[in-house]
Amino acid sequence: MGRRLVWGLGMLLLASIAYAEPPKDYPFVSFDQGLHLAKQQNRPIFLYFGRFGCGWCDMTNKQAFSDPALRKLYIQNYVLVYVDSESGKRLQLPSGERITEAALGVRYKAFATPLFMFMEPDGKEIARIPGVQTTQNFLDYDRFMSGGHYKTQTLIQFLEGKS
Amino acid sequence: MRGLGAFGLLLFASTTFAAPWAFDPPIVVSHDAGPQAYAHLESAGRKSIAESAAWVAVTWEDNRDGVSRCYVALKAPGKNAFGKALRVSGAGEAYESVVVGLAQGRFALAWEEGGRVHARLLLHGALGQPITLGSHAALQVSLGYAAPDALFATWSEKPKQYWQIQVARLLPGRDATLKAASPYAIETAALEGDQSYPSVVALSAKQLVVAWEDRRAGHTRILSSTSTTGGVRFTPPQQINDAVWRGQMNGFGRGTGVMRVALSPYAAKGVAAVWADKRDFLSGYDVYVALMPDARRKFGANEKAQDDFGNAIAQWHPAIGSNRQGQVVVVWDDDRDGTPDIWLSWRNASGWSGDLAVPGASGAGVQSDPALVLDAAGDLHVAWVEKAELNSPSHIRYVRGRLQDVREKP
Repeated sequence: MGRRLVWGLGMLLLASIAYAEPPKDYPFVSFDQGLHLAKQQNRPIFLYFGRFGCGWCDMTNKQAFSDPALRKLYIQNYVLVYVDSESGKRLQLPSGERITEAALGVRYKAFATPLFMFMEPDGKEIARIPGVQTTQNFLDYDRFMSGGHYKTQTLIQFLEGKS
Repeated sequence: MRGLGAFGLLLFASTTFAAPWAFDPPIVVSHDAGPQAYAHLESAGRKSIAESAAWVAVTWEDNRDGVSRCYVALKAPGKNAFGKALRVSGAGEAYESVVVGLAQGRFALAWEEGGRVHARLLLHGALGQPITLGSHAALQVSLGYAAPDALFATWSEKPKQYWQIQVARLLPGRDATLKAASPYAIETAALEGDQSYPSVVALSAKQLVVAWEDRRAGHTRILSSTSTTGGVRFTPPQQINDAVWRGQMNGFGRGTGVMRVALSPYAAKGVAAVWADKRDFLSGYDVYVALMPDARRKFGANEKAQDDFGNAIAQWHPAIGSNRQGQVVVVWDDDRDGTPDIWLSWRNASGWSGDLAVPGASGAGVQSDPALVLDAAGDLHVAWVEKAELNSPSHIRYVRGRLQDVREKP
C-alpha cells in the first residue's frame, strides 16, 4: 500500500513537471522585449520557438539546457527570447504591427519545434536550427556566434570545418 | 523519367475533380484603411465573415490610426463592393472581432477590448450600443446563431488562476439593443490548466455545442461539450482530436499539438469542426475535420481534409463553412507553391476533394488567414489577408464562389 502510494505520488510529480516550457532558471523574455533589450544592449538574440507539451523541447531542456556552464554562457552572451508557437499572447513588432506569438511562429515557419534562431541585435536572422539539441551542439553554436564566424560562413560551413 | 511521372501525377490531380464553384473577381474589403495599415483576420472560431439575407459582413482589426481597432464592412445584396468601414470597437486597443448573421440582414458582432469582451448588433448599417460580457478579464470571444432567436456568445475568462470557457445567451431586441443573460462556465469544477479559443454552434435556443483548446493535460487538446439547457449546464467534455501520442518520447513532453478549432452548423442537427493538428510533427500542422451528424451524439472520426500534395508542408489558419444541406468546405493557407495562398477542399462522396487554390486568393504575394461562410444556396464567401510580403502592410479581400451545376458538388 505504502509503495503504491509512493509510486502514485511519483507519477503525479512527473506528470506535473514533464511538459515543455522555457528551460528553468533562464531569463527568457518575450519577443518584443527581447528586440528592445538586444538593441539597447547591442547583444545578439537567441530565439527559442517551443510548443506546450513538446517532447523534443522537453528533452532539450532537460538534457542540454540543464548544463550550468551552458546556462552561464548563454545568459552572458545573448538576449534570450522564448515564443510559445501556439499561444495567443500578443507582441508588437518594430513596424508597430501587433500580432500573436502563434502568428510570429507562422512568419518564421516554426512548424516543427523546438526551433532555435540566432539573430543580430536588430532582429536580422543569422541562423536557424530545428530539432532536439545537445549541450555540445549549443556550445558549437556559441563559438560560431561569439567568434564572429557568422559574418563569413554559414553555420553548416562552420560546423563542417570545425576541428 | 521521374519528372514525367511527377508531371503525370500533377496532371491527374488537377483533372480528377472540377471545382463546383465559379469565382467572381476578388474585391477589397478594407479599402479605406490606407496603405500603411496592418489588417488582421484573427478570431476565435475564425468567424470573421457572415451572410444574412444576401448581405455579407466582414469584420477585422487594423491600426489605420496607429491603434489596433475592430471594424466591419457590409456588402449589400446584388452589389459588388463593400461599403465604408464602421468602427466596431471603442476608444481602446481592440482585437479578434467576430460576426454572425442573424435574420433579415442583421448581424451580431463581438470583440476584445481593454482586457474584456464586448458585443453589439449591426442593423442595416447602424451599430447598436455595445455591451460587456462576463465580469472578469476576458478574451477570444466567438458567436453562434440559430434562427429565430438563439444567439450565444462564448469566450475565455480568468476568474482565478486559469482561463476558463464561459457561455452566455445574447438577447437581441427588435431595434439595435442587445442584452446578455447570465454567463455560465462549461465546467464548474476548479481547473488545472487554461482553456482558450472557443467556438460555438447554436442549434436551437436550448441546444448548443462548444469546442475549445484545453491545456489541462500538459499539451493542447481540442475538447467539446454540448448543452441542452440553453447554455446553463454542459455535458462532460469530449476530446475531438485523436490522441495519437503513445509515449514515444521516453517520458519527455506530454503530447501532440493542436490549434484553433472552428465549428459550423452541419446538416439538419449537426456540427462540423476543423482545426490545425500537429500529429505529424515533422511537417507541421495539417487540416483535420470531425463531424457530429447529430448533436445528441459525439464527434466522429478525424478526417484529414488536405490532399497529399500538402502533406510535406505546414497548413495554417483552417476555417470551415457548412450548411444545413450537409455541404462542408474548409479553407486554409499554405505555401506549397512558394508563397502563402488560400486553399480549399470540400467533402464529397469519396471523402475530400483535391485541394483547390482559390482563384483570386492565390498567386504572387501573400494570401493568408482566410475566413469562410457557406450560404444556404451553397455559395462560398471567403475573406482573407493580402499583402506583398510577410511583414508588409496588409488589407482584407473577399471573393464569392457561385455554386455551379456540376457533378462534383460538395
